[in-house]
Amino acid sequence: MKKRFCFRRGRGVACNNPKPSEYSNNNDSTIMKSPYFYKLVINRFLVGCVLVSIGILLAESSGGWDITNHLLNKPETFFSPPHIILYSGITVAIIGATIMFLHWRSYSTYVVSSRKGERDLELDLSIKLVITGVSMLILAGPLDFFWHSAFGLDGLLSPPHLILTIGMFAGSIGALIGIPSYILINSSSTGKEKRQNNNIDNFKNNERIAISIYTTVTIIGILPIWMSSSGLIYMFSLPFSDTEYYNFNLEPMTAATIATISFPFLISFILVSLFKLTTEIGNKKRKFGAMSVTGSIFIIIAIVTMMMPNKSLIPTIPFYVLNIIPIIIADIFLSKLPLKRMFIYTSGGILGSSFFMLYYPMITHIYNEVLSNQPVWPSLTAPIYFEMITQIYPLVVLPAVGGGILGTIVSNRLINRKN
Amino acid sequence: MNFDYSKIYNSIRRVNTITIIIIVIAIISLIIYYSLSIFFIPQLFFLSSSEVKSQPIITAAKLSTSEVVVGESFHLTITAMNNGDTADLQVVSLSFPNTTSINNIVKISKYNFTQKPVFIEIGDEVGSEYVGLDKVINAYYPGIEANSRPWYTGDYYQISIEVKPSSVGRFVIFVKTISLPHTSELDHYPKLGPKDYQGEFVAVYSVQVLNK
Repeated sequence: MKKRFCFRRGRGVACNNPKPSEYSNNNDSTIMKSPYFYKLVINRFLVGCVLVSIGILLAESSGGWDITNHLLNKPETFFSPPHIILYSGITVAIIGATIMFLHWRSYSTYVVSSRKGERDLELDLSIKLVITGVSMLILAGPLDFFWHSAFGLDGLLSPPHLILTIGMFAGSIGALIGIPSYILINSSSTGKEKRQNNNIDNFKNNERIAISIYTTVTIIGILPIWMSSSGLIYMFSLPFSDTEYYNFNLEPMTAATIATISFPFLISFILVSLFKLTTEIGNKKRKFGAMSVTGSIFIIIAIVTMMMPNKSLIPTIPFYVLNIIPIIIADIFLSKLPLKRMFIYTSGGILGSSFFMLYYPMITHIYNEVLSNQPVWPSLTAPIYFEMITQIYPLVVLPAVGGGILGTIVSNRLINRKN
Repeated sequence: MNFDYSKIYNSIRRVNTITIIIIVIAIISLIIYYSLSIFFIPQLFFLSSSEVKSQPIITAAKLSTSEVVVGESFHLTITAMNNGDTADLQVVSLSFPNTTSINNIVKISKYNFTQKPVFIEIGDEVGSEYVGLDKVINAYYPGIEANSRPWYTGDYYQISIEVKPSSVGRFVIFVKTISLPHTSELDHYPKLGPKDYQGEFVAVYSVQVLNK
């Protein structure tokens, strides 16, 4: 008979295929059926999701810092500060994945024993994606070491880096799927409490706090997806993959086209999806703020990891901070204006059109290959970018607006299908 | 063609006042954002910023002796600094025009550059004419390049080499320092004198190698 490990307050108990009758005559059944235990399990599952998201966010942010570090200093040692933070982030993600896995097992066992086999399939999908993603993160380390040993210094696009970034992407999606699944499970048990609870005011206050927490964790969940997707697009568009043995740089026009279509789509898709998710969480009440906060965090991360290390870019920080304006406008359009297609698509178009400014300074390298192909020294990044913006932006703004609108359409369809 | 103005008027009336206010504010904000980002800030940047001007110089070049017996070694210590704005990269280059290989002749005794020095062999691709790898040529003779990136204003870096010539005659060493990006005549040292195969000015040091 197949044994399964059941987690019970620190003591491992081997239990065979559990049947309700087996639990009815011992103390385990009291604990396993206990609502307290059930809440503990799903709350800790949420903690696991959040840790995975934070770990991947940390790793992706330090990845951006590492690119800047390579451009500035060309570090010759593995133990550079960005690498240390990258691996710390991966460690946090592994810890989060472990917590998720252990509590998913307990939750599954609880569901089988008390709910006659009604499992949350999204929770299963969440854990599968997280495990897959984290496994890829772990695999990427030795693979990177092997690649360095065989082929010397690798560029941005290399098989180990691709595995690392795809792993982060998969893991972050898994963590995000786990968050609304948790909210759904928690909401159904909260609904029962509401019916039993006579103190409505107290309950409503608790509900408001819960919605704020859910919104915060959703923002934490979606940021690493935005960062890892941006990382994937950078891998195929930045010209940093020409090394001694291999040249993985794409043809400059192809790289620029990928950037022109993908970045606007991504910004719009991520932020509009976030808005829709937080609306669902908030009992279908549209609220201003989540998009603006997420955009602000993205801007802060870019400033800290890509601009502050390069002293010549520090004077351009005020220019970069202006990028919060289109995000706030889109947030206002979606939260305050009537929910008509015109306004929704306009928000997507506004978000998409800001891509050329939002992805400064790295985007300089992409379009420089097409335009002038001059060496982009760290001290010349800002002058080259500002020279380029008046020439390139008029050419890319329309496809960018189109990409932004497309991102909105896809996000709408995806969220509606999920509902 | 007759427009039904009443229909248009009624549809405008139906739109909430707050919606109109929000749309107007949004349009004004976006106009400000795009005009600042695409026109005014770039213009302001070019008006207010000045070109980075590094000034690499070799402050000391110390030869341990002017004559050496074949098989014995001498030392050359080069100290360089940046007297101007921070350079993204500054390189100190030593080349050996009258040898074909420095493998058993030259070794680095010490250095404090942020990057490990690189040995250049005949045929290796190197930059030329102060434009770095924009104009690549093949090395005519061996050399050593030591660089720091970035090289901050006022920073000193030093490299010492031990040379054990294997043949009698004049052993010549070319020394220069260049900062990149190279934007003016200030970005290299020396500023005049003989040029090497890369078309760049060099300072010449030599030691007479005598018979035993």
